[in-house]
Amino acid sequence: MDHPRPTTAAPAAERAFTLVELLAALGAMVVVLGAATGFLLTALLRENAVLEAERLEAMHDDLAQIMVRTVKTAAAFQIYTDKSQYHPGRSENGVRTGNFLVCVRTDADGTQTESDFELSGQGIIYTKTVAAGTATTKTYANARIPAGSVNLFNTDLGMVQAAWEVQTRQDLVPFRVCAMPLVMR
Amino acid sequence: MQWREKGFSLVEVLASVLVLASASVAITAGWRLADYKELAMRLDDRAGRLLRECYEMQTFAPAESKPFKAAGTPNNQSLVQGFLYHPRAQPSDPAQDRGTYLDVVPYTISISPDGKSMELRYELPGFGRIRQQSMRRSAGFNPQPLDP
Repeated sequence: MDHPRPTTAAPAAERAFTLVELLAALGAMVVVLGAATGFLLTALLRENAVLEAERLEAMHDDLAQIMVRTVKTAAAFQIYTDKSQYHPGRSENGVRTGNFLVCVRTDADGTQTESDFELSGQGIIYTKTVAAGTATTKTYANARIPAGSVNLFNTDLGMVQAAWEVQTRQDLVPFRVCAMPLVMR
Repeated sequence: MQWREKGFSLVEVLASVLVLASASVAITAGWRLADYKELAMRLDDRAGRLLRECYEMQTFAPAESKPFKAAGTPNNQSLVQGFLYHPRAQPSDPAQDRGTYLDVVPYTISISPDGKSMELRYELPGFGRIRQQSMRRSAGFNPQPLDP
């Protein structure tokens, strides 16, 4: 008597993937996700560097504009080799080239404003003192003297000039400022 | 099988992974375009700064140090031409990275024949479908030397 042979095939709804199919799918997922994550991380790092470069350049552009405005409106100015050579209230014995610039402006109401720019390490420090009162200080980081130059400031052409470079993770941004003080025009 | 017991099929999961990966690539492409626009803006700002410096030198520097002679011909090449962008050189071997920078995006400054205005020109590099563009920035001289 013949008995019907039991079948091993499951109904379509109950079929599952084989181990090989699962492993292949898992491998594909790892490759796709890994590539996408790597791509995204690289882009994130690059984006971060771009934003930092933009921020630094904007900051130093701000400094350059302050410097031009300060020099142009100065009633008196002096350059010193460094800050230690300067004695507040006595603008004398300046030099043609140095890393410390002090500018003094007197407003119509008699208020005196002193602005100092100092190259210190890897940054430029700007200090503004109004009427010998509270001083406001701001540091502009990542600055360096360009190759071939020795100091930040000079008066070689009979006008105040400053040159520095800003190093970012993306690029090098040169800054040059030249301004003629009102009193020298 | 009850509907509550249904899960995602493997094909659905794989498809969603592909969609997520494509989305991340599209996002980074958007960022790159934003970076390009931002670089174009920075180059424009630099052009403005260079023009201001050149203007100040032309107005106040001694005759022999002015960027242009009275006839409008360049007097000091280093002041009227150079490069706007100095990206960090990236050698294929990171160990050889010596912190050097390249010079790209050349510019030239010219003065009008009547000596009343200055113009800075440079070529903005293209990006993807955006073509290279010729850019110009100009500043006019006032009877009294003031900022451009």
